[in-house]
Amino acid sequence: MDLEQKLAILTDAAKYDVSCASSGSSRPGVKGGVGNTAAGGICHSWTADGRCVSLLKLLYTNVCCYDCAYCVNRRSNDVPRASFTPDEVARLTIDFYRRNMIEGLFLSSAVAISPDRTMERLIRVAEILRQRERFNGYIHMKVIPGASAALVQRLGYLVDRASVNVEFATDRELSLLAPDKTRRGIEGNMLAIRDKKLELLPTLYHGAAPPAFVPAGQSTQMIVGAADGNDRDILGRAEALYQQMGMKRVYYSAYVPVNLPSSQQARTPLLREHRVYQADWLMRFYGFRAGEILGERPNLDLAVDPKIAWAVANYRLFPLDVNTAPKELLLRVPGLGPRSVERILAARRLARISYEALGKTGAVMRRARYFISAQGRRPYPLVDDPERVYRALAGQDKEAHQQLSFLEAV
Amino acid sequence: MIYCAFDGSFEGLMTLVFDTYRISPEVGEVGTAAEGSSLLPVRVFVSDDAKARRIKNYLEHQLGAEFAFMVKAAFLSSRPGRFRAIVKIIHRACQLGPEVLSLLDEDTLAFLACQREVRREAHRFQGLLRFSEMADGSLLAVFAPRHHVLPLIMPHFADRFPGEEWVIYDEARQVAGLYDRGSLTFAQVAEINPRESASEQEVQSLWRVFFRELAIKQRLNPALQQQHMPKYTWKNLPEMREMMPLESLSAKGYDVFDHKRR
Repeated sequence: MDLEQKLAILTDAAKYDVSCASSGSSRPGVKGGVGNTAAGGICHSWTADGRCVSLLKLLYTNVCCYDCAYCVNRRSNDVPRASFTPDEVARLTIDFYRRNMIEGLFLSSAVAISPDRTMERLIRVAEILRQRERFNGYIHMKVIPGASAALVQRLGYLVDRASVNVEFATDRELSLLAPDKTRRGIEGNMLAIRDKKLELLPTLYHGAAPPAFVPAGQSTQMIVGAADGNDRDILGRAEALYQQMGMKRVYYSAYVPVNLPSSQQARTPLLREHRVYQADWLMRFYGFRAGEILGERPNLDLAVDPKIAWAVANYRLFPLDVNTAPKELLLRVPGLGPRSVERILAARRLARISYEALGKTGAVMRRARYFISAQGRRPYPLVDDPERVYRALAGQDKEAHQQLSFLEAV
Repeated sequence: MIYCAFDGSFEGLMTLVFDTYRISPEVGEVGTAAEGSSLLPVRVFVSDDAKARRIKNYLEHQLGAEFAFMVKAAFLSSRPGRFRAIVKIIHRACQLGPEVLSLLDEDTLAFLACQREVRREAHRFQGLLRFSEMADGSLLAVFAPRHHVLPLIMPHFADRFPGEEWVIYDEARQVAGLYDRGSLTFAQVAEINPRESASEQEVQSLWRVFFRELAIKQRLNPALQQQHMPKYTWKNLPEMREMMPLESLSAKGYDVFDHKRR
């Protein structure tokens, strides 16, 4: 099989992994080496489905000894199989990197023979890149669930980011859909990385900095909607991962039933994945807790974004005066983001902000107007009924409206 | 109100900032003498190194490195009102300090927009620039940015590819940025004659295979793709140069998401 065929098969097999970020590491170039990393990450292209291409995302092999119900590469599927050699992956990485097509490599793999044997191949690729090619760009590698702690540690010194996929929010779903994986195996790997990172935290005033170990931290991925897990399960698990595992990022992916005949496919609506991502942002950048976002509901409201849902449910807190309200509350106003809130805070230190000036802070007034006032003026004729506000805002979300009416029609 | 003319150089503009400080309200438009323009009476300001240095020092040391960088970025913009915006913002910053950037009036917003667009495009081309390997092993990238971002992106690539010899060519402005193991230079170059290495086309076609296979065909969204990767960049991207038109994608069984088609 030639390299082009392998590349086609092993790219196709890797594409459902949604992580693409090259962020979190900031490392200048070195003399005699190739590459550097940028803290904010860099996108090099966008695929026809609109996703950013930052890393060379490949499976090392799609030959698998597991038989997970949701996975296209499971043992019992009749799909073309291929495996790279470590040199081939290293060559592709360097050739693409020198042409500025990628930020680096994201290598995952099916479980060939055993988790440890597979991990050894991945480590070999990283060693060739770092040591022989003196590659100094970004490397993200998957940890194969259940791999030994010693191998996870070896990998950690070579890569920027490591990730173990939790796959499903609940143990019930995991045992049903991925019977060969266990929560203990998955979380054991995460803990090994977390604890090693803590151990190596630079001790101030003592000698040289320790060698970098997974400097860009861990990420993970959860599948949304494959079985009966609800959004409360998903957001609760994500919150625990952020708080207890020090996770940098949790990715979500709407279930695509690749192993069922198309007549039986019940694809998870992309809108649900979208809402889960919005809720995730609220937890990471806006100071929300999972419980606050959902209130009493088991699932997120599909008709409006979760920030609007929260603001309408807590309508008694509004309107907020932009000249006096504290930062934490301003961040909770639909239509205001971290950037527009910063501009409001800076501007109001110099002079009081008028309603007319608000739109120039970058605030999305079509949403924010229901929740704010300026110098005693409300930008919008007073609406005291949260129900009406809800209906007005739900009407604005055209794409949600389209997808929902489409779902109802089916 | 007057039309203030200068020679188009950064030093020239800084001199103009110095000379117009006391008549700031009279500054109507600012541009090169060649552009000339409006109905306003023209006054020419001749570049003066000593005056320019005083303003540049003031920017660096009184207003701060970030403010100085914003001025340089705005200067590289192609927006029509960029020079006037720069002159006005520095005049006002001399009285109010760098906090002037927090005001929400038209002049400030125009200045912020100029520098933001330039920095955004510079960041975009840190990703979208493509090098090809030449027969002698050096690397060449060709692009045509809207703003003159070449000076802003050169240091990034110098840090990234320190051991190589490479050239970035802005075909719109006919300016080349050259790097050879440590030293950066710029040159006006009317035409280039690239000779590719033997394996160059092979690597590009592997890249196209990767790019094609990575898309999830149940989720095609060309509008979103184009929003991130606008058409003016396609000509120099190996993966987009030979893009298949939408109709042929649908014919091959791809599910194209189209807002208008419902």
